[in-house]
Amino acid sequence: MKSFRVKIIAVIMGMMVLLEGCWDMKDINKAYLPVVMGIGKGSKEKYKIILEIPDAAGKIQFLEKEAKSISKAIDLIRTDSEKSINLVHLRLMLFDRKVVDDGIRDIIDYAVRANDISIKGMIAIVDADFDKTLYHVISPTPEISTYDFFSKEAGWTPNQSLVTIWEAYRSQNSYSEDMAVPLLQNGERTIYAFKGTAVMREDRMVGKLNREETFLYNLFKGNYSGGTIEIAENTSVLIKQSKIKHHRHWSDKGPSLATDITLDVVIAESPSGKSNVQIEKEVRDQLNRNFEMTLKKIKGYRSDVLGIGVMYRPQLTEEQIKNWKSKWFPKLEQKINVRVNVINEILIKDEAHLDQTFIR
Amino acid sequence: MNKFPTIILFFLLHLASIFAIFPERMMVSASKGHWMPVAIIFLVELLVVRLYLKALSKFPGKTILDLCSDAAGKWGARLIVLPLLVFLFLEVVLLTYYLSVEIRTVLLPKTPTYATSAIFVALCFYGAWKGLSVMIRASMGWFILFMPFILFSMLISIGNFNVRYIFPVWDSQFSFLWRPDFYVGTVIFAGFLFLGMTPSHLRIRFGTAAALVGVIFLFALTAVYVPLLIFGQETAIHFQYPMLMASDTVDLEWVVFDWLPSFYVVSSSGLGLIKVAVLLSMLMTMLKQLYLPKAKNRWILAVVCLFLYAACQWIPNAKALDKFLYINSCLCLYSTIGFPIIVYLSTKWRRKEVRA
Repeated sequence: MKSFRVKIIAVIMGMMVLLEGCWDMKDINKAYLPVVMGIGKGSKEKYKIILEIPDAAGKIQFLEKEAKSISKAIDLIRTDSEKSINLVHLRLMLFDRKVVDDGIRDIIDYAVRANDISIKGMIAIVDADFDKTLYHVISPTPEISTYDFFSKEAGWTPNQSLVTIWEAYRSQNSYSEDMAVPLLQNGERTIYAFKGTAVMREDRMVGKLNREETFLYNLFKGNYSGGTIEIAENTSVLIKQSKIKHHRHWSDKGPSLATDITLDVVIAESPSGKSNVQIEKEVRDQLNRNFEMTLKKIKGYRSDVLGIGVMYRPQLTEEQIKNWKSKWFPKLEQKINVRVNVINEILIKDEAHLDQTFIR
Repeated sequence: MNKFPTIILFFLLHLASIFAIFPERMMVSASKGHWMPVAIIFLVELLVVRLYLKALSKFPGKTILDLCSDAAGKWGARLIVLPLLVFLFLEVVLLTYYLSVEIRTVLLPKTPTYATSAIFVALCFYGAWKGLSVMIRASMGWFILFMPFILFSMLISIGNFNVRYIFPVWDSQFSFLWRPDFYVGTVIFAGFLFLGMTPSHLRIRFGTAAALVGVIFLFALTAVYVPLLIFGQETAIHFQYPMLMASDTVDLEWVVFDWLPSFYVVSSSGLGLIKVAVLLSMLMTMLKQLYLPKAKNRWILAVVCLFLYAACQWIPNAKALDKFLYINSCLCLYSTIGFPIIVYLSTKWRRKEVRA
């Protein structure tokens, strides 16, 4: 009898432990799980929040509210919606350009603070009509998700910049780097079209890089996989590998950085008769020229999007790191030297060495 | 008998601190060269453990309580042990509170803290009831169960490291010595006190302990540097749970790994559980042996657990937790540095007396 009683007590205790996780639980069928949150400027209030909720049928539902704060707007959405709203699967936050002009610090802080939003989500800025982009729907196929646009395992290419919530949070608190945020607009047949990269200083947008410049930005950061460089008509190369070496110097005048980028490329397309050596030279000259222009542009924005301050950390004292953005970065002398090496991993030989016996 | 379980328990108790409170405090205490405060803490620990084990090895059959009462008499021993008791109790309360808040924040946002902490305390009660020797044996199971989680949640975020955030590495002014948070980090010492209460056949030698402290030092360094290398010092100090945030930065497409912080919370609370249980059983033994020789073990334990539970409910917020951690760090310094030294000196003094 006694052992029976002990067993009963053990079962009850076990249930208590396990059922605790179900406290005030809401069934997953009774919850909306938004994947995209749009944060725009409201017509009456400060924020307009749009939530994009995919459903099992492949359709997308939109919910929208305005309020003075983000969480209040979500609360209002919750009030009117039939189901509860759970943000754990939120993967993309889109900011209206007008909101960004007021600074995004508070919004990023909110995203990090909220314990239901995962900090590995992405952020992007909508640089077009905000409502049109957010409400843009392409004929639905269930397996397409907006998040795949940025996923390195899916649709990302080195032409796109990429920033997660935690990287944004790090950048806005950091003494030694700034962030670059992708600019989007609605696509014609795709969900989004990539427009360029917003260069931020602290939490404000100060400038813009176009797609080619974004590619160089990614190349500098070491994100090159699958990048294609076009030189002239019918000529383009594919980057297989890149090695980046930074030579840092620090003199009385300030920092100077010389970067050697060695690219291993294969020729993807070339008009017949053009030699590899010629292509190497053309790629090198073009990249060097473009890099120089891009660096000049970035320096003009006075924003350390390339994260050069972080590279100098080993040499700096704490005091100098604190003054990096205001004092040292404007004094930075930067140079990039690209070297190109054509490796042959394709099925056609270098044609320049062959005798030209055929009809031409 | 095999001493391996004792070694494992020693290791796990230290890891419990490494997975709660310790890394965050180390990060706040220094603005650069974070390995320095960590190294100093472990050097001090090495020294104290040496004295402690030396004192114990001279009297193999006796626990620290016996040593104290032999040297200072009954009332003297009570006086010496009193701050240690308060420290153990506060430490247990704070750890329980910290962990139930962590569980609530990450895993069960809708479950009230009184429910999670009730189960936490109940499990610890069970562990402590079974006694220290059982806990030592149980630590083997704990080790096998939690080690994969621990290693996984520590190292999963390695892909997001930026090694340059290590710098600057040298703090020439030792500025952390003047920050109270540095002393809060000494809670990690509480992991070795149990050595003085174990039956003598389970005791470990100093050489083993020193090697262990070395291994634990590596774990502590990893715990401090993982968030630092990901976020940088400027950002990491903003986080309540830096290690947890670090594991949240990892993006894996596989659904099982969609919510990686849960791995961290599971290992952190598992380790916390065993630490609280061990400290409770120490508390119980001390109360029984020195203050309440007539009371029954399980009643002492039940009352202590009730107080523990009530105290956890009473702490209003994280700010209060902070305040108590600062108060506790003074007691901690006494109990983990002062107390072993007293024990050591008392044994020395007693030996002289015997010789004369």
